[in-house]
Amino acid sequence: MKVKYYITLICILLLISSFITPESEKYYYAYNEKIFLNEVKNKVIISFRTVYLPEIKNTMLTNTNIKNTEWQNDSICIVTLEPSKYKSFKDDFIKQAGIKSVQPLYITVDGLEVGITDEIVVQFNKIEQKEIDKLNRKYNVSVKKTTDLYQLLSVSANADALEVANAYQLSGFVQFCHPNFIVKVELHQTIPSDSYFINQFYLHNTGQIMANGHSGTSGADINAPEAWNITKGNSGIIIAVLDQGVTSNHSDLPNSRQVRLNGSNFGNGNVNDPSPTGNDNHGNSCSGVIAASHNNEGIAGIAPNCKIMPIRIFNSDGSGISTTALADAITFAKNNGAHIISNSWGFLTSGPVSPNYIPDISSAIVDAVTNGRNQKGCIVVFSTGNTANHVSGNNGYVQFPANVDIEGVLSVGASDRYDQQAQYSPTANTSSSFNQIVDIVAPSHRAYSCQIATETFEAWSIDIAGSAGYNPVKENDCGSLPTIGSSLPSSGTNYLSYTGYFGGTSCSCPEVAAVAALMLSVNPNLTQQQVFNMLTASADKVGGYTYINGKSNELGYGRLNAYATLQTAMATLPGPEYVCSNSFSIFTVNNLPSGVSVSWTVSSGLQIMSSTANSVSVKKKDFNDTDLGQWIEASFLGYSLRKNITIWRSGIQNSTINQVVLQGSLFSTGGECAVYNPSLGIPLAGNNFMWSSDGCGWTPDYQGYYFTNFYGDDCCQTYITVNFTDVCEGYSTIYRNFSIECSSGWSAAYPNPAGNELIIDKIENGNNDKLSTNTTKSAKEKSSEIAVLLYSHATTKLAYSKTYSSSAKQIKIDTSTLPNGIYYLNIIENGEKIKQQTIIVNH
Amino acid sequence: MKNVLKLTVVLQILVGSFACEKSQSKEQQYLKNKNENQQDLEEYYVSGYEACSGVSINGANGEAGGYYIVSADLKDTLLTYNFPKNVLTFPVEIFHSTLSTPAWFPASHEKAFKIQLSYRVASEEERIYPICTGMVFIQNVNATQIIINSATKID
Repeated sequence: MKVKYYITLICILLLISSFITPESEKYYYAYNEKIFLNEVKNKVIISFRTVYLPEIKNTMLTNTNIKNTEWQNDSICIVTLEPSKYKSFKDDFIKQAGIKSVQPLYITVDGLEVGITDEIVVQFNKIEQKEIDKLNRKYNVSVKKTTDLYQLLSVSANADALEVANAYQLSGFVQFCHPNFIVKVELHQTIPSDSYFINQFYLHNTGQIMANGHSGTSGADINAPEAWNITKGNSGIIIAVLDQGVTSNHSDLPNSRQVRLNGSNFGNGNVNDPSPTGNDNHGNSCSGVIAASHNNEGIAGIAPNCKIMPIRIFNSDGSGISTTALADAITFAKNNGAHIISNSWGFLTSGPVSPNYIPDISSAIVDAVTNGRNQKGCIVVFSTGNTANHVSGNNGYVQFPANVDIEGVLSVGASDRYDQQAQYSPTANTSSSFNQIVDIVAPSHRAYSCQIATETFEAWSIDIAGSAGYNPVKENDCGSLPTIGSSLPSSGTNYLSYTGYFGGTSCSCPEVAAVAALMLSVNPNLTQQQVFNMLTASADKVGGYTYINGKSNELGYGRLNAYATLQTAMATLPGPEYVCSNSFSIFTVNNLPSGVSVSWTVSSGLQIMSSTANSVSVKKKDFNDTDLGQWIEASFLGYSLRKNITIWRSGIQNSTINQVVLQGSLFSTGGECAVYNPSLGIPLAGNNFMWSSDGCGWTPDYQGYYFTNFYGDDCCQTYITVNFTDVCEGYSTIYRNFSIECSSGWSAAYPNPAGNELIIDKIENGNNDKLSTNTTKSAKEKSSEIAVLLYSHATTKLAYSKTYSSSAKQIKIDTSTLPNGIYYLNIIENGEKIKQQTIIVNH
Repeated sequence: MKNVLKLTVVLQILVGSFACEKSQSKEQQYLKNKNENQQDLEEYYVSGYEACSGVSINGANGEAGGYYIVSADLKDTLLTYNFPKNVLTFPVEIFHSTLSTPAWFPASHEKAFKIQLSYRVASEEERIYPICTGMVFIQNVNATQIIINSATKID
């Protein structure tokens, strides 16, 4: 009885448990480790077919189930829903036209929210391409992108990318495979570990208390750490510093990062030595702000990978050189390859003077900004001078040459640690006929001690090593500070090679010069005017001053922002490469400064439907099946971004209209052809390519957009047909009649992909109709050599070229030095291309 | 009586106008003297130096490229870049800073360097404008740049 009772109880429990269906576990593989995911029950991630985006956006705005929409890019957003509507929304929204996928948002056990769309990332093992193709066909994926490290695959509509990725991982053919996660990226800062960086408030102001006991306003800085996350500069960029000279092999600015030239000393002493003399540390401090190394010692320069070209323009007694020598110094910088010329000096006049006050200096500047950098123009930066005393109501004036009326020359004033105009920085006077303009400011010290008794220099930079220079202190400013004999810093590695008593508009000018160097590091083709435009447009309008058309009298266009400026210099114009003939596409310029509007132009086959400050909606103008060679162009701040696009008619049938897009050549020994967009120079985008042929007994072996390794039996005519889902989500068929060459005499190159070597064999027993034709030629006519050429798809340039004897039985091509990527193999004999093949090099 | 008063007023007007004219003449003559290289018998003090024009130190003494000279009545502030050597000896301690200009001498030497001058105002072509680094504080001083013909120390 008791046994029966227990058996019954167990059965009941089992029955109950059968109704409790555990939620299926969700996870992805990090290599072989399972990373479990939990669904976020009120968020989904939606991926759109871009061309339908505007209509869908409108629909979403009116959908009452949606509480919030967060766009990740032009075609992906994360939507927050009412929890009760979560399931029904997921099921219903996917049915709408233009939706590529609606997937749950997941969260890892570590709390990281990740979104999954229709893309997976895979790194295959070293296996045969045929195996990869088989796997791709099985799961109906298409290749979207190939890099040295991974391939990006797109799963078919409604497929579960997570499941497909896990299947790939378990296939044994991959190192890793996981969804191409959408995650939120926080803005990272690169904080150097240099000893005195914490005092460099002008680079990174957190309101920290500095060594002098002062603290400022958090954020009143140039965003240097954020900028360093993008770049620390390119060693090919050179900033000339016209000043008192730079110490040779300073511990924070070694000669490996200086360009020390013969003839660079225009002051007294050795003409070939631009070193400072006595306590003349000014040039050092300016250069340190620009380029001091990030090396755990001293200070951190803004462009620590760039180079300084010291040019000495002061004599050993502190006096300046003649005006002609100054003009020569500017020209010297330009002639010797300086990209930027930083000038923290100006003429002591009794007030504002003409912008052409000294013509030979003005003309040297004009020459530099016009002819420097191969006509892109040197970026020339001047400090305005410290002529104001706002404590006593004196607005000061902009010194010459900072007031030259030359397009693109930057006049730089000073802000302080509170993002206010420094007490000595001149205020612009727009009604003056002497071009009294301040273009931009950068942070420096707040005031001299004769203005505010407790204030003095407080910018940190490098100093002449030892007791010379600014550390220890040898002179006051104009009041009683800094204290003579004091040391700042007074401890630390090589502390006497650094100073905490630098400042004035002297410090502000090199900050701007350094950011210009970072800009050229990421975009070396910017003209000097474009650099000027981007620097000023990206400046922060701080201080509470009145900005009219983006400019104030106190701070010019605002306080320098290195990060925002770099983003602008790297502005991109993403968007589709196609405009579908039955719809419109939206293009958006990324990383525009606020307040800047884009001017749009399009080619003749397109028309603009509408535009905003940074976006444009474009459709085709006239019907044509496809229009190659179209473009859209975004112009802003004197800079233009152009994007080449194609008008594509969805669902194209018959290749006769589009013969240009099916390229290739076929031989009885093998061949390949590709669906190609010559106007963009890239293969055609699309999905689900299916190749076929209707003659010659050909066996296609295809991979996505290109079809390789035909093997046939005979010389004949054949139609090669490819069906695919085109970029406009229509179904297209393209076909082309190929005349199969009987024999090239050479096999297809193998292995493909190639590692360090590619081999081509002479075909001895193939159908030699062509060869027999060739043999009827006289010995004089017949070429004894063949040329083997490899063109790089990435650079479109010839990457390999070699001639071989045509009597060789085998050709071996050394691919060990070629970068990984796609190449086009051409074999030329008697001036005729006898073989063409697409090769992948993958070491 | 009325006529006497009238005559007095007329005479006062005439005298006054002559006086004004005389003071104008004195002003004009003063300026004329300056421009025509006339000996100026007023006393001046060398009160500071122009820091951007360089300072050379030689042992216990020094010299600057430019000096500020103030008249004893404080009416004129002059700036010269050609102060003759061997007229005055400047001790090194007065060259306390090159970080602001004018760099006035310390209080201890404010009236230490008394001179008589013969000079003329520098023409536009003769004026010197040195360059200053962007660390120097430029103080607002209204100074006339002069070319010194001769200077004599007054004890």
